[in-house]
Amino acid sequence: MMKKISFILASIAVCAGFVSCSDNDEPEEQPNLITLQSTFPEGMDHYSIHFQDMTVTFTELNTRQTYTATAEHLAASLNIFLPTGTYDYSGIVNYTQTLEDGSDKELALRTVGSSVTIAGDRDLAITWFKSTPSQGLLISEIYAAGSHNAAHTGGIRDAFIRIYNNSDVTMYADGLAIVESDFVNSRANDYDILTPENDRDVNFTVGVVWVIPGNGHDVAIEPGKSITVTDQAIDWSAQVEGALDMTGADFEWYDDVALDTDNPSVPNLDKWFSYSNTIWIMSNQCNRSYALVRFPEGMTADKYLADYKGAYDYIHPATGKQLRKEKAYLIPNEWILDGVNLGNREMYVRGALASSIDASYACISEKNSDPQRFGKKFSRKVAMTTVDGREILQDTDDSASDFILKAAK
Amino acid sequence: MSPIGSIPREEATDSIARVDSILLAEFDKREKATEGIKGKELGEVVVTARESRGVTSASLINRQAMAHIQPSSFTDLVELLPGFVSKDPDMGKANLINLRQAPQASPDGYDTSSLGTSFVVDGVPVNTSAEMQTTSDANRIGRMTTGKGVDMRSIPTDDIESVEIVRGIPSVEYGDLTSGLVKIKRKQGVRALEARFKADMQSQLFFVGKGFKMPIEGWSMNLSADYLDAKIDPRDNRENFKRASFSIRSNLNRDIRGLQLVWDASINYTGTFERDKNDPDLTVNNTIDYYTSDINSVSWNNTLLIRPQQNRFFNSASLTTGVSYAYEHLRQQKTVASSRLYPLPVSTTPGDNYVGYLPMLYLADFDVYGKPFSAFVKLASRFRYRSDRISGWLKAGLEYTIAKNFGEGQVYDLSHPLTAGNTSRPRPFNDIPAIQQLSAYIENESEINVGDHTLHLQAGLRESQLVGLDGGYFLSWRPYFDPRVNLKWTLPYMTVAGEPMVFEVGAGTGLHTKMPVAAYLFPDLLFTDEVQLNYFHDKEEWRTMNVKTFIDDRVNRSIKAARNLKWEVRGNISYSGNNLSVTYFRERMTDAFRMATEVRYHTYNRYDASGYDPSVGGAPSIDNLPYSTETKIAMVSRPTNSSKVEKEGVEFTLSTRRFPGIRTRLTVNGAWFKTTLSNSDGLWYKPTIIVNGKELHYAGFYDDPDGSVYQSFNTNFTFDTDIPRLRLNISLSIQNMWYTSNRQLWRSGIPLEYVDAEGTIHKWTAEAALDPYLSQLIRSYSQSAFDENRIPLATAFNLKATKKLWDDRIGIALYVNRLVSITPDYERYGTIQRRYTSPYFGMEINLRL
Repeated sequence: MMKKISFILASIAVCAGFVSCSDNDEPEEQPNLITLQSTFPEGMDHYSIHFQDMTVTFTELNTRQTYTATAEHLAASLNIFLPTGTYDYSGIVNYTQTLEDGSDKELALRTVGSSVTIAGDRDLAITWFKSTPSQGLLISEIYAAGSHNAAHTGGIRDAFIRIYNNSDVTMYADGLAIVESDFVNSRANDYDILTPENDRDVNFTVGVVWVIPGNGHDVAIEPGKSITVTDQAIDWSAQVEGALDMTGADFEWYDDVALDTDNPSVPNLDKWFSYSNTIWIMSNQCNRSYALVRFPEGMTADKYLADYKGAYDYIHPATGKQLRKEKAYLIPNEWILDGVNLGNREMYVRGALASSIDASYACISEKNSDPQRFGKKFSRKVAMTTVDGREILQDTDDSASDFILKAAK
Repeated sequence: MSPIGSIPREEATDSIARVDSILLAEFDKREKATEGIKGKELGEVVVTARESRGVTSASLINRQAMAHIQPSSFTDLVELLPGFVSKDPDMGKANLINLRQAPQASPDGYDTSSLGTSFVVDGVPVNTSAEMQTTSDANRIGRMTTGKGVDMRSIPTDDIESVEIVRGIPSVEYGDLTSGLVKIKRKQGVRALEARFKADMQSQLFFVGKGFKMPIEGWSMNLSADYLDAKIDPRDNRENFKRASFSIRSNLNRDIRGLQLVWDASINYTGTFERDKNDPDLTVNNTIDYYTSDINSVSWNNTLLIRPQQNRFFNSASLTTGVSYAYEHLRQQKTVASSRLYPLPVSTTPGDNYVGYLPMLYLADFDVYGKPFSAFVKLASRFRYRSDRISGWLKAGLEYTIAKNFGEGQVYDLSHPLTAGNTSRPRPFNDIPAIQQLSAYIENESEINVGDHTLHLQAGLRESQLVGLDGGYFLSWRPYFDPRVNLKWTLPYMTVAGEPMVFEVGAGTGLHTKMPVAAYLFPDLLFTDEVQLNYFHDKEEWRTMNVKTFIDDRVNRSIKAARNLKWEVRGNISYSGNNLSVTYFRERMTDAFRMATEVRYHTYNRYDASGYDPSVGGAPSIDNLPYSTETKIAMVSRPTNSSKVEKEGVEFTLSTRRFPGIRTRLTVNGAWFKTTLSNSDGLWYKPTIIVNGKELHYAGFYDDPDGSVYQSFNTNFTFDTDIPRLRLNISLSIQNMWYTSNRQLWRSGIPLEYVDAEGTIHKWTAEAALDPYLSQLIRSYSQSAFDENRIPLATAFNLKATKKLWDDRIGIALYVNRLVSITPDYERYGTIQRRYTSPYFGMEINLRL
């Protein structure tokens, strides 16, 4: 699939790369020469593609210093000088593709990697993938932490997910699924997954599948408009000071047990699958991944339940023991319209979603279980506002740059 | 007649402790006569458990061994048994005894081993049948002993004279047990004032005791008191365990008209106090959530024994009574700040119920008052017979016990539960009927001399039943018969290098029966609320929630007693003060108690309010809404006999004579244990998932074993050096746990059959595996799930020393466990597993004035 391309001119490491030190101008001691060996997706050598600058940014995990290598074109080999340390990196190449109808489409290649140890001169192989920003419906807001409870000892479940129409045509949300990852985006749960079907680059392994009811044309979202899906559509502010009024939500995920409330004026989502037979709650630690899913034509709950079982084997990182997870289902990556990894800086290792769906993660806090997280929601940045006042949200499949934290109220 | 074959002293003591000491006088005379052969260790310091020379495998722990180990509670003595190694005290949870069991084998559902080990203190068994304390707080379940037997934390050791732990087949004189017998004999008679102060890394202990001579001839009194203050984590004074005990014992021994009359009486108090509070500094609003559990128990025991002074066929008769009562109060207070708005099912009546909602912030108070009372009466008699070749005892007796809890039970405000989704309701304990058991036994214990061979045979039969139970119970007046036989054959001794070498071989088998306790006979009701109408309107006055409350009776009237079949073979060699005993045993109990799920059906209505306009008719009511009917499969757990406990192993004890010159004795004990814990019946299972909006409408029945095999092998080498001249005793114990392992039993994961919501049972077919719903019943396991998890060697070097000063009036002692420990890293699935240990130490001072 991927092949190393050498077509880029006399790509003999033109290394237009230079090192920039974000907040420190002192000369680094004995930096190491790192040669980045890129692998690109197939088909990038098409005449219709016009590349812009290529940048790869390295962040040292202890000092948080950043170093950027750039090239003015697609470079198969690129040099950068890095001090000894452990780095995360991410890179982007924007390009324009001229389509058959003659119009130009802005696209991008991305690369990400984590915990790379630099202790001397070395080659580093990096893999680029096509970034496919969603053009239509996307997740614009996630409120997973919830507001403070009445005693300020934890959160409440005035949580919600907002789905936004980022296109310029009316789109329909019924039939879409909202799913939560089975994997937890945390070091303690950084399992080595053994079952090939559960490879995040192939399928998204989920623990709950909620579906917006309708026949395909029942839940219209106009351009620039959104719908809100919440846990309990009640006026939380009447229950707990400072909480949200969710009575205006468009849907609630109602768990049909005597532990939940059901607002008769807010329709309920269909629950195709859940790992729990009681209530389902969003990750109030904000360390799972969420995705918006469009099933293929003709998919039914029965067919899905029969054909997409996702039980998997994994190696527990602490004990090394091979274990089995039974209650999980699969969502093929090509069904995913939009996906977001959530996490916190202290514990995040990698996301449950493929890098091509989310190259990074939306960060709730620097430390794990930070009590400051309550009352904060993830909100997508506005990329531009059209003349008629419609906001177009930023979607580069890189949640760290696409989302910001905002006060929920 | 071979002098070796005489009934050894500990064997003749299988009756109530006090009776023994009287009857033993005769044997003591014989022992003295044979002292030269019997062993050079007599009269010497023995700081380890001694293997009994009797007809079954038992460990004897005397005062010296207890003093040497420096215990805080009875739990610490278990280390002395073959197969066990030293453990740090764990006072933050119930300490249960699991004899002959691999150390890590204690999963839920296998409590019959500890429940079925009988603790008999001065002839009166500790009755836990009416223990009912419980909490719905999962974090505190480990502190409960309901249905689990005796909590060894509550037994102080300082007023104990000796302990005999029968691991093998006990005499039929002891019943209502499956797994073992712990006989505790407390100090008696005139004794100097003794005091002990002990401190270790977690606790302080103080003890004082004295035996007084009373003005009447043959009358003595003993007083003792003990106080223990243990912090579970010494850095945290909010969680602790305290014990206070007090005992007054009287012993009157008179000869009246040719009859020896002995009357023992005791009044005892033990209080245990558990505290566990949160740190208010860690909560934002400084609330203090706490858990306290207090148990104040008193008992009054009497033994009356008469015995003709002449040797007659009638040897003795005794009447033992015991009355105990405890006031138990468990209290929890918790500030509950809900994370969501929970409906509040509070109905205590079955059927349709309208319910309200829990507040978002409230204070939950939860109290459990238990008042278990028990009484015990035993009439025992002994007859003595002799002829040229055969001599022995006949024993017969009757026993009656009653246990009833008079407590108010769980008392709390249902509108302020500890947890939302509470499936229980306040329950008084005092409406639970008394548990009464009537038993009788007859036993012959004889010594048969054939030439230079001696056979020692113990054969008995015990019959027992529960009486006064509702006639609907299988167990009502159901007699159980426990035949038990032990045989020991002493071969003629050989003379090797001028000293006798004695071989003994023995074997025994027997059935042991434990009746279910109140918690198993009368389990709590299970309350389930199924939603019929959930209408949380934005306008408060129109909100309505209706549930159908199902009350599932979990009583299992066909519950049976748990029965353990044991057999063992033993060998013993004694030579020149050295002794080696080896026992191979097997135990099999296929009807141990377990909470197992059963399929029930909940049929209720689903009311449809989607077309309802509350602005016209106000809040909806189930009387005027359309509905459909639904049936849900509910899994209800109830007490059953479906646990299987199989034990196999080899126990060995080697003790050498004290080597002259270095004045050191070596004791090696250890065991290989293989414990298989599993289910003895198929199990019902319904996955806890939602598929297509509903819980699964099927439950599967699996005949797979839900259990594991546990193994352990250890040796403890104890070198103890006694230097009388310095009044010093030092011991070094090298405890090697060569390995422990566990392996889950293989399961297919395929149900044998399944049941649908209509209650029809279907055979499992290959097509079912393709159905989107039925296929959810297939349980899948990882390839390595059934691998053996083996943990290699762990070695600990434990040092103990006692030194006596000032004519033995002052003793000082210290111990360090794991002074050095060796726990090599090992690899498992490619990862290095490291083990960390740290030493544990304590010291004490003993006064004897």
